[in-house]
Amino acid sequence: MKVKIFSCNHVRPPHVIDTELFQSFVSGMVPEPGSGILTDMGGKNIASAQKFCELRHQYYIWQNEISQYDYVGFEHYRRLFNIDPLGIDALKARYPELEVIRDRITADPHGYMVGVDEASTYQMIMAMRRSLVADEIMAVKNWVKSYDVIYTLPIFELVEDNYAWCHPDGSYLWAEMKQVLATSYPYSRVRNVLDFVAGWSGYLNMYIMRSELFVEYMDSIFPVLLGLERKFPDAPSRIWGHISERLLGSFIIQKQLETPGLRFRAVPNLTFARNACE
Amino acid sequence: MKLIIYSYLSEKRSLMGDIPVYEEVFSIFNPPPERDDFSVLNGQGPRSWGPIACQYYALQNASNFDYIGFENAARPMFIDILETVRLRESYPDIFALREKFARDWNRSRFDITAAVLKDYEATRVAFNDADKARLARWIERADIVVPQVGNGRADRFRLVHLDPTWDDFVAIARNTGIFQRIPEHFFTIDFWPWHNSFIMRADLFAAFADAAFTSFFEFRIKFPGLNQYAIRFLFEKLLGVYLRYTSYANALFRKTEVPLLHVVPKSQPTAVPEGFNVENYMGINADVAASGGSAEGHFMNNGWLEDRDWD
Repeated sequence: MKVKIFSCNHVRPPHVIDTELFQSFVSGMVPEPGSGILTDMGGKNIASAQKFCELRHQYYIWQNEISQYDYVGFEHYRRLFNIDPLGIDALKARYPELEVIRDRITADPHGYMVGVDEASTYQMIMAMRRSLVADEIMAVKNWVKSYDVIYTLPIFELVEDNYAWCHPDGSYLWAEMKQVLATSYPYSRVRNVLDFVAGWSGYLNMYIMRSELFVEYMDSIFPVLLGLERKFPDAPSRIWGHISERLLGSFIIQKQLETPGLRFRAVPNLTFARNACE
Repeated sequence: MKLIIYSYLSEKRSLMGDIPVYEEVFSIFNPPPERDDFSVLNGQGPRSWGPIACQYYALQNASNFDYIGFENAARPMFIDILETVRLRESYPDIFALREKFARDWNRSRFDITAAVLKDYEATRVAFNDADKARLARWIERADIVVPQVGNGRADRFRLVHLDPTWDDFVAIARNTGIFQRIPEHFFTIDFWPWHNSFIMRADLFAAFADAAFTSFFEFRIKFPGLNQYAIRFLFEKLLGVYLRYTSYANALFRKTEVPLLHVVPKSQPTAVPEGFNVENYMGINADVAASGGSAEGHFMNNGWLEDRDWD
C-alpha cells in the first residue's frame, strides 16, 4: 500500500523531508534535482494562483500523481499530524520532547491543537520521521488504512461565524458560495444545504484520505471554487483556501449519510511557532 | 472475525417490553438477581453489578472472540451500519439519527423515545450477511469503539460514589496487572467514557478486565461496606484511565467514538414510570438520598432528563 503525506510549503523550507511516507512539497518553486523537494512547476498546476493557498498542492496531486497512491495526506510546514509509531519506551529514550507532546495530547480529549514553541521539538519530529524503519512505516500504513479520512479536530464554533471572522469583507462571497453549492454535487444532496453552515469544520485543509475519496472530494470542490474565482477575480487574498477548509466538513457529512461503515478520525494538530520551523 | 456484544437487560429495558431476539453478534445478557454469595469464581456477577456483571461473565467465559462488546440494552451504542436506501425507507427514525450523528458527531448521547429504541433494535435484528460483513469490517479497523468522554469531575452523581472510594481503589489497582505500567498522574483524569459501554479487541479487554476484577475483589475485602453501585463508576473511570494509557503507550491506537442512545420521556413526566424502584433509585443516586428529597420528586423534576437509573 502506498501512502504519501505531503508537507505543503509556499517557500523553500529549511527542513526538507523526503521519505517513503513524507515529502516536502513547495508550490511555485523551480524544481531542484536532488533537493528532495517536490514542486508543482510541471504537469497540470495552479501554482500561480496564490489565493488557493495549499489547495495548489492538492490540485497538483489530484491532476498529476494520484494514481500512484492508495492514500494521500496534506499538512503544513508548521502544522503537523502527530504521526508517531514508536512505543512509549523507545520514544522516551530517543525523542524525549515528543513524549511530552504525546502526554499533552492524551491529557486533553477535546484539544484540537497542541501549540509548540521549541525549534528542538520540530527538529526532533523531523528526525523521528526520517528514522522510521520498515516495521514502523508499516505501523503507520496500517493505522492510515484503518480510516477512510483522517482530518484535524474541528474548532467548536459555527463555520459561518469563523468565516466572517476571517473575512469581514467577504460576506458577499459566502452568500454566493451557498447559492452555488445548492446545485453542486455532493453538497446539493445534503438535505438542507444551509445545515452545513451551522455545523462544524476541521480547518487548515489538512487531511489524509483514501485516494478514491480524495478524487471525489477534489472533483466536488474545484468546479465550485474555480467558478467563484472566475466570477470574483478581485476576491481577498487566500480566500479560496479559506472557503475550501469549510467545505471539507460538508463533504464528510455527505459521505457519512451515503456510505455506512466509512471510518473517519479527527485528530489534533501540532502547531509550531513560525520561528520554530526555521 | 468473531464478535460478541453483550446487551445488559436492565429492569428499565425489561419494563419497556418486546425484548429483541438477537442471533450471532448481539446477545441479550440477563444476570441473576442479587445474592449474598460473592464467590464469583465461575458464575455471573450479580445483577447489582449491572453491566459489570457482563464484563465478568465475558472474562470468565468468552474466550474465543476477537472483539467483545458491552452495553446497556436501555442505552445501547449507536452502531449504524445498515445500507442507506434500506435504512431510509424502512427505518426513517434511525436514518434521522444517522443525520444527527453526521452533524453532531461529538455528542456522547442522543435522547430518543422508547419507540425509536425499538426501531433501532429492529435494525439490528434485520442485519443481513452484507450488513454483518460491513459491521465486522468497521469494527476490525478499530481497537476500541466507545462513547465520547463525559466530564466526570463535573458530575455530582458520579462524584458522590467516587470521591469516597477512588483513591483507595487506585492504591490497589496500581499494583495490579496492566495498571502497574500506568503513570500515577493518569489516574487523576477528569474525562472518561460513561456507562461501561464499549467494543474492544479481545486481548485489550482481557488485560483490562483481568486487572480490574483482581483489583476490585481485593478492594471489596478491604472495604466490605462498599456501596454496591460504586462498582459501576469505579470500572467506568478505570476504563478511562486505561484508554488514556493505551493512547499514550501507542499513539496509533485506533479509537472510534459513537453516541449512546438514551431513552427519555418526550416531556416532563407527571408520574414515575411503571416499575420505578425507590430504594434502588436512592441507592444509585446517592446525591439525591443525601439531599433529603424524595426519589419520585427528583425523578420527575430532574432525573428523567438526566436519564438517572433505578436498576
